[in-house]
Amino acid sequence: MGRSDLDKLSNAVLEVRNIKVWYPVRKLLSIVGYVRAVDGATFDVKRGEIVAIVGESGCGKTTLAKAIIGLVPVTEGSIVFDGVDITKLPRARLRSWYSAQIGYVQQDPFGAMPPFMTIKGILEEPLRIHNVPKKERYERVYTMLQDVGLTPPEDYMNKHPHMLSGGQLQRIAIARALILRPKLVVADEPVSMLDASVRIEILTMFKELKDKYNVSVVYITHDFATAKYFSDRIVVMYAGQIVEKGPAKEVIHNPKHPYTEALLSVLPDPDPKNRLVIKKTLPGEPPNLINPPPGCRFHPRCPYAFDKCKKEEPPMVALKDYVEVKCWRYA
Amino acid sequence: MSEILKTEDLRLYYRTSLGTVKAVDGVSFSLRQGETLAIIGESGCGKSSLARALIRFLPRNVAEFSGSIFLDGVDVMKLSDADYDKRIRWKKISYVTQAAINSLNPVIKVVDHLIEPLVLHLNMSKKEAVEHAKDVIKKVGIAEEFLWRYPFELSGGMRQRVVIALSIISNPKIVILDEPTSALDVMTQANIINLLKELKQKLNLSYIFITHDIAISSELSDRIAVMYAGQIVEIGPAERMYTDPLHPYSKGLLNSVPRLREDKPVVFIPGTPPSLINPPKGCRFRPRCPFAKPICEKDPPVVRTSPENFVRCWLYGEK
Repeated sequence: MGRSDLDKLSNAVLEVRNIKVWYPVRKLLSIVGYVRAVDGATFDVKRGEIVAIVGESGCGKTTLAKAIIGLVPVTEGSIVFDGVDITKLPRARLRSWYSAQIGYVQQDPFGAMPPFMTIKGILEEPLRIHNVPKKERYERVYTMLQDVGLTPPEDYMNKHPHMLSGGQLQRIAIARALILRPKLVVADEPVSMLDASVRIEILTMFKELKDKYNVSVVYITHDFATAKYFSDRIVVMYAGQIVEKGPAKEVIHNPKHPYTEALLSVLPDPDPKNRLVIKKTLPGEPPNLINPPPGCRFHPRCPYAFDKCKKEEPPMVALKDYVEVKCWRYA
Repeated sequence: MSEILKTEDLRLYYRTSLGTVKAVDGVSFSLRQGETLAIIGESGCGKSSLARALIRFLPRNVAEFSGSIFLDGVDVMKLSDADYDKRIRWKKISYVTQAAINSLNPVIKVVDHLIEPLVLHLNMSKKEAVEHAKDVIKKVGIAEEFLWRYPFELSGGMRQRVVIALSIISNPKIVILDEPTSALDVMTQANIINLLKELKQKLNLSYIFITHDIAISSELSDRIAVMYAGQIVEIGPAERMYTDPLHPYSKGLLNSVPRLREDKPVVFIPGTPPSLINPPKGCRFRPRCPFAKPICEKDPPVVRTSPENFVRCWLYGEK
């Protein structure tokens, strides 16, 4: 892929088209069913944009992240990165080319770092694998550490992960994700293990670096509040499917899908009146992904459900202000 | 409402290879019957240590444990460990630990978890205890038949309900909730908060609600104590604390909360909390405080805003 090819392409750095990731459930030697972790997801990530994928645990958001970075095989659909469908790419090419184009930040900063390596070693490793000359490697590690606010870098280079706090480790994880100058970073709950006050600090820094390095970000989270502040667009997932997507503020202030509406209505802002009210919550729990309900997957919990919702799967309906919603009420 | 708990100059220090960690360093507050006090602060500020001091779950490396705790009229610091266990723990005050849902033994039935404290501490017969367990499990919104299931068969939200049932089974007056919802999903969290509100009403419980999530703290708290580096820097009523906190640290915390319903900018507090081994002299927040003055190098005064509330800051002290 030369630079000139890029110019011909659309504004999107990533185009996910109807992807499905089904994990087989095995009993002895035969496959008895599939966990439909991601079951038909379509969205774009534009250049320089932060897209938040929001959902509760078990909705398939981490599987979606793993599919994007090529860590799990995709059952169906395509993931087009810079004009190349990575689901059709041979394994070797995935590792030699694609792995330098995308960065990944994991949820648990403590588990994400090899404990016996120094910070310098951890940050240098991707550069070494991608054949960056030794002298340049040092310089890049040095400036990267400065960029993530770990100064002076000399103080951190020879430290081991256990000597740093969670916030500092997450800075290292972000540095590692950015060091190859990727076009896209997938951050899977990058701040959920950190303290509330540190979260904002790390996300603010991440957003600044995104502009500096001109990357796009897929921000996987369960937290609507940080998604509102740190993303341009929000994609809401439920039971393996995207149920709503749109500009961040639009989705937060004016949710369309009954699921988004219900989640947002129970999330508190700091307000002394909260303690005086009992909240209206949804009945039941998210469905089993081996055998999801027919029709709309949300219908057993939906306060607005009517007959059609139980039988036919709703289409993705485009509304005004670039909002799309998968719900029969708008079809 | 009468006063159910009062601490004065409570200290809990730990011995470590690096020095003495002053996790709780002179904490005084009071709690009324039926009132919820939220204790908020960053990790490492000593809020969980404070909980452990109150329920006397202490590790082996305690260097100092002093001050006074009056619980329902009893000066509990004068009680031996055996007496404390017999008279106070579970009967007057109980504790829901962080990540408590993982503390249930997966191969012991729910009913056996629930009757254990009744049989061991309240000398009930097994039959009585099971009857009582049936009552309590209904109070937390679980059908009776789940008593005969194993914890691994229950969802996270149900297990949290079982843990809450355990904390109220011996009719305590105070329940300490240490991050009771942080491991749960949004909807489950809302359900658990609803349950805690109902139980508080029905049983006239007092909660001490420990959390670093300020938005969640507003769901339960009548009063809020803000902890920083082992000390309470401000304590005040919810009505004022969420809109107009006094201490610069409380203001900083509140400004760092991302809001869903307003488009207010979020600002984080620069810097990191100090080491509890060697905290800064004078006001401990001084190195991070935007209002710091030379006088802040001296210990800040405790300025009463009402008989039971105060702020510890030179901005409001003697001029």
